[in-house]
Amino acid sequence: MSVIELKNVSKSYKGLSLFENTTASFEKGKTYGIVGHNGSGKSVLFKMMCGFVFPDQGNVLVNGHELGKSKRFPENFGIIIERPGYLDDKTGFENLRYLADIQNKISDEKIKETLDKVGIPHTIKQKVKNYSLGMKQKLAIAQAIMEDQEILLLDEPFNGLDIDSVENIRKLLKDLKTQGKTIILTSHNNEDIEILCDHVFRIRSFTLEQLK
Amino acid sequence: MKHLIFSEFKKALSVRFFLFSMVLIFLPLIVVIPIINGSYQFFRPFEVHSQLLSSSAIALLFPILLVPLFSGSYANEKKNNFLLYVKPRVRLTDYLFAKGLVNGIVTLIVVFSMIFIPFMFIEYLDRFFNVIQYEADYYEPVSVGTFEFLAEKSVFLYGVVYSIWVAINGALYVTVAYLFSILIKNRFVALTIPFLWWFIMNFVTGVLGIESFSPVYSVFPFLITSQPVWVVFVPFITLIVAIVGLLISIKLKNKVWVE
Repeated sequence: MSVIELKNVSKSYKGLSLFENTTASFEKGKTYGIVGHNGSGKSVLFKMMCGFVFPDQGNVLVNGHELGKSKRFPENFGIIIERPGYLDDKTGFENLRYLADIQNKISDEKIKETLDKVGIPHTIKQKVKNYSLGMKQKLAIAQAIMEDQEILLLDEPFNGLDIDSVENIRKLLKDLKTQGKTIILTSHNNEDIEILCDHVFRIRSFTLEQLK
Repeated sequence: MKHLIFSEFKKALSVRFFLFSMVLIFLPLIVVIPIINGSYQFFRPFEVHSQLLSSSAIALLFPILLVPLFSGSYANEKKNNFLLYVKPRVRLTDYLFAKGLVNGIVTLIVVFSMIFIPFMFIEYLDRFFNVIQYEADYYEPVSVGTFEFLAEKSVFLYGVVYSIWVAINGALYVTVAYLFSILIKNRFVALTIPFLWWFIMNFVTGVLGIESFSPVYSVFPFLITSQPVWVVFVPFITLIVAIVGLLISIKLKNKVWVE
């Protein structure tokens, strides 16, 4: 069953053509890797999938609903796009609590558990402005998964992580896959893609070319 | 929507907010009262109150004093990419509305307290402490301007209505700053526009000889003779028109919603 479908999508961004007549579908419970050179349009592809930007032509459907027509933003998406986002004068826990308060679906305990899972001890009182790049990245992963989101769009989730943390996050993503989550990720590291992904797409000649 | 409003209140009511509010509310009382006490002749307590507001930086810097309370919050969230992670969780219009509403409410409360607490001290508590010196040899009260007519009915009513008036104006000025921070990428420019408006319009109306319509005399009408009450509503309505214009611009500016 397709959870995300791109149908004949064309998209230019800031005057540059990125996708032309691209069609692809992403099945529930699978992990997908998107590869491509810098500026090939990976982030724009993710932005189209979660309704932040719309295709110039064609349609993006999430769970059968066309984005921009019957839906603006799809529900149950956990995302990391381009770079982590945070309130720098708050702690990691406070950042997640503010995001969680918006829908009020999860408890403090769940947030603490998620922080521990990604490798940020929930007891630390450090403000995010004092976090390393790797810790900010882990915080971004935490916000993407804390509400048991069904579809995860993770743009370079391993950026800035040390070897142990990479191992930990790989294990976490595998666990999420076994729970039936659909994961679409980008990485410049082939090893991440090979270990984690069932299917791989490469962005080439303005379209998605399936490699695996 | 109630979760959003609750969440925004939690963000707004930080230790920094509390300390800054305390400074706004009590610093004029602690610093300015000793300076003006004995330097001016006072016949009635609310003359002290009006002198307190016009001698302190409150009247001069009014809009810029309020911006640090909360209106920079949206600009910070945009700068640090936090907003991107809000979008999958809620409609941006609802989020912006909740943030604007909380921004207005917290400013309203702080500004009301900033005017009303010194008023209560000067009018009712000082009689137990006798800090302020009043002229006892003769009685020649000084007008406090446009709102004097309220004091003639009831001094307490004057205190309440005048505090509400300043609070509403404060909330409108921070709303303007907030809306500009949505529209303009440069947050420094966005957040200083209300102050520039305040400063420039005070100057321009002064040059044109229509200072009774200036923003400062609309909110702090102590240094001019009493005006008909409709006069203070001219800058007030201008401010509301500006807010409506900004709301329409935000609605029409696609970039706000796409980025």
